[in-house]
Amino acid sequence: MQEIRERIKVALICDKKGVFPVWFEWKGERIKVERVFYKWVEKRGQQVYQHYSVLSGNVLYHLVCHREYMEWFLEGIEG
Amino acid sequence: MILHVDMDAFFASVEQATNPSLRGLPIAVAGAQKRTVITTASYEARKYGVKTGMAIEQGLKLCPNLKIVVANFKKYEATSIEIMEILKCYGVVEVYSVDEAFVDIGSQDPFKITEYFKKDIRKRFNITCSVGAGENKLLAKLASGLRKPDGFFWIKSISDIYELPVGEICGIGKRTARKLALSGITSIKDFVSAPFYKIKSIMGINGIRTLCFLRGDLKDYVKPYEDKPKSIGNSMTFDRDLFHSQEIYKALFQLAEKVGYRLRRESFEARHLSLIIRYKDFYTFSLEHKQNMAFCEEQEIFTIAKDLIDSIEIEKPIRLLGISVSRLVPSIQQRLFSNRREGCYRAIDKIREKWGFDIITWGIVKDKYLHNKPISPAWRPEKVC
Repeated sequence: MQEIRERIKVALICDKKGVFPVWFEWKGERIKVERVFYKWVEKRGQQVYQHYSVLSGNVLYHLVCHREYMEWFLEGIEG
Repeated sequence: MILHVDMDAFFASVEQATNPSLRGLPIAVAGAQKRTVITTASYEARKYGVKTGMAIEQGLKLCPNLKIVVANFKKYEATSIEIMEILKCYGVVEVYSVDEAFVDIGSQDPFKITEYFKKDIRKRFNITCSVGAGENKLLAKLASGLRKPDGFFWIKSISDIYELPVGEICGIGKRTARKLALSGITSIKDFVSAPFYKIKSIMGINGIRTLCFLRGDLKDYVKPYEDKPKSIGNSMTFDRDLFHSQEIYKALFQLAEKVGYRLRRESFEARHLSLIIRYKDFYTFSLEHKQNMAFCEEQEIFTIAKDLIDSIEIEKPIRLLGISVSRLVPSIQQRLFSNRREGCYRAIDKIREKWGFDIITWGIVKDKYLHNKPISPAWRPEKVC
């Protein structure tokens, strides 16, 4: 996994199962999320980060959301 | 009825679930450091003989296509917490480790219950588990190991497993199994039919306990709560061996910092410290210090550890250092800190509580050694909101 760690803009869907990214913008390009493969929560102190492993094309993206501030980051990329 | 739920190749399964390109491939999860060993191998890798605890190079020799994945323990912890929450819907849960749990399902049908939660876990995480059912925890744990992966086995009667070797019983290692074999006890049938005095002479009182559980004479309970810790410790394996005292002190302070914070967070103080040292050639030993005055500050912990290491001559480069504190007593607020540093510790602890441990540190370890710490066997879930 190549580390990126860049702030990104994300469009979301909220439903009963939670919050899911639909697309995100990175390097001026809109990347459509085809499938959310995995999501998990990380706690650092009282800060809660929601991680998503998502697929677009043949590329796997690792997205992270700081739950309190709703800030999104592209953590890494593989593929 | 008690179920033992054991996640199959847990870390590797989570990685395969997270990254579809890893599915069906032989993978091994290992720490971020160069010298760590394989933590978990996927079932595809196990076919080649790749095992937990093996050096990465050895794994690659056995399976040249082996893909090494750097462990992400936060991801495994989070997944484990969610799995435990799923299990709680079916009974009283005792978290045994990050990938194992006991579930007391009362008089419900173990087949049906297992089917339900296996389906839930597979649907949510796309990973599998093996489940054992029995009248007590020992039998349930024994049963779960008999049908791996993704299996279910119910020990209805001890006679179901008479033919199994005695070494299959949890708590009977290779050495004990050898001792038992010398007395003619090789199978579980031999073990349960042996007289008490014979078992006691080989295994002590724990042997009697094991025997009673197997015979069904002793009941145990699933504990949904945690016992108070008996010790708190941290250790680090270094990327390169340490020899110079300044770098050794720095590593000691980093360990002391972690142990001190954990002690204060749990509201404990300690009166005993063990310093564990492993040399380059894996020779491992510990140095002990006892005192009547309890301690919980990293400066105190560091000073004790430093005095211990200064009391010996370091003969070889150090591969691993560990600090463990025990003889824990509940902290008394008035003497929790030496007054001069009280405000400082309170502020640091508050900041860490809000933002996480790594957000702040002492100047001495500002360029600290980043350590992707593996999950300890004593891991218990921390509530995530």
